[in-house]
Amino acid sequence: MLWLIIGLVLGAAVYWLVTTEKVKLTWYEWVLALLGVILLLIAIQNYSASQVELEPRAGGFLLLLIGLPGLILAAVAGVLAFLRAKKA
Amino acid sequence: MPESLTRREFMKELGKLGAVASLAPMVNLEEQASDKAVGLQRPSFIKTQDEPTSGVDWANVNRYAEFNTTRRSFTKYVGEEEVNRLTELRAANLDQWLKEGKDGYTLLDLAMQSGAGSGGVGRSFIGPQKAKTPEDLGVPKWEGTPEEAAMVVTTALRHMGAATVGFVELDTNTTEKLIYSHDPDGLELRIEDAEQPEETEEYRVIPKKARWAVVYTVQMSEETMARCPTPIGSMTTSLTYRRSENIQQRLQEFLRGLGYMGIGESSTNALGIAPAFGVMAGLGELSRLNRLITPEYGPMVRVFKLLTDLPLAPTKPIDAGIWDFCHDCLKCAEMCPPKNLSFGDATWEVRGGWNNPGHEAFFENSTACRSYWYSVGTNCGICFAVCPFSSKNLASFNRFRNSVAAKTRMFNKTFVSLDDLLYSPYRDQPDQPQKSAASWWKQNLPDYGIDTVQTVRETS
Repeated sequence: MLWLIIGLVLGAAVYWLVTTEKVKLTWYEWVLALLGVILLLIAIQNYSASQVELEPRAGGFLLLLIGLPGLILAAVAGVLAFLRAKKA
Repeated sequence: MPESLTRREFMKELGKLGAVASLAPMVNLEEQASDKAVGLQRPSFIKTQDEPTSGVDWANVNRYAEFNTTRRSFTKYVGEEEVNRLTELRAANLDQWLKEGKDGYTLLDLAMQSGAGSGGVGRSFIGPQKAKTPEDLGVPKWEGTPEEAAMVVTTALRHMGAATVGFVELDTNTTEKLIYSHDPDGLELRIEDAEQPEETEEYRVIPKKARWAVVYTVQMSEETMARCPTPIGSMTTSLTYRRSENIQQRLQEFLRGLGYMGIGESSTNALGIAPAFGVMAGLGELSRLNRLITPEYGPMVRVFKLLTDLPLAPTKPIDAGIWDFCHDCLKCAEMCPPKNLSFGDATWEVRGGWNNPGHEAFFENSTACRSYWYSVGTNCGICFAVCPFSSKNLASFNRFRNSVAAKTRMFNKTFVSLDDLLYSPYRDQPDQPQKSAASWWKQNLPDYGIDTVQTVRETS
């Protein structure tokens, strides 16, 4: 169920980004966003699996170690696109 | 498909394609199942090879008497006075810790240890001999190719409770030397031209025609092992030994039902050198623990073996990067309270009579290990608990580590540091269990405290 929800949210986000006129991502913003999302997905997988493994400590650290860089990359892509849209 | 599509039509066509793709694997499922290769279906980074990663000089390997291990000959190595001192120490410590209510040593924990160590059917060399043989039923014995035999024995064993299964063909100049010269009870193991196995008060006879060793692992609970060296940790092995007794008996009866012999371990750790058989069967590699580490469960298994005259396709030794990883990782040695494990590289020099020469290993000071067992009143297990490969591998990070470590040694030390961070909150306090025993009682555990689909998940 977790992955179904994540898939729906991601699908909706990509659909919106492709179709909206408000924001147009450059190629390098797409790369940054994609890398960020991949890292976030890996972080979520490791966190949720660690909970099942009864290893919450490991889950927390893995979420931080993998998820934080992912979040930063995705945020950089978002901020760049936002600033450009604001300037235009 | 029309040349130009509206968005709605496109989605409709995409849906049809998706349905076809989803149903395709189901079309000829039965045929696909029968085409499945025999043996463990492992990730491609686990390579099979003719020789084990740890060196063996078969010319210098001799059949070893099990009673020379510290398990049976501790007194011979340290003296009676020391054993008496340690026995008194163990009794005093257990008494004090029970009354103090020390974590892992409470009445609740001791009762659980007693319970988990009960219920096995025991072991015997020839098995109960109760299953009807093909002769009893008036039919010929089961026949199949060695590959088919390996497949049915693997499937049967998995269903009976084993984790991974491999096969070793005995050769007089090599693998036959892994059969003990004497069993733990001192009885000589004779390999002779005989029709049936035989057991007397002085010796046991293994017929020469029983040329195939079935080697199998039984999975242990990481959750209890993480509570080592307490009685809660100790029941990890006791429960697994009891389960393995049932599995051995079931396998013996299964083979008898097919018309073949099943020569089992007459007692715990009898018949042959378990880690060596595990290595030769490709179930894992030798390690700094001087025990078997498997790609699927790390060291979190017990290894068992049984001999039969049913021809079985042998499985080959493997290279999963474990032996190399142990050259870069000192975690078990550093966290072993009596510091009994090797801190150096693997060597051909044994540390004492408890080791069998003729192979390369991280030989351990087994008397220091056993002495520590007395002081904590259990069979410790810290080295197993803290091994990075003891991870449960649901989290993809650990599977990623396994695949990278199999290909390069470059990141091994980084992986060890990460393992410390993730799984060893008490890295600098080796006596301290990595998880409290009290917390174990609040866990929502799977059956036997193990994830029995771990192999399936790893290999699918």
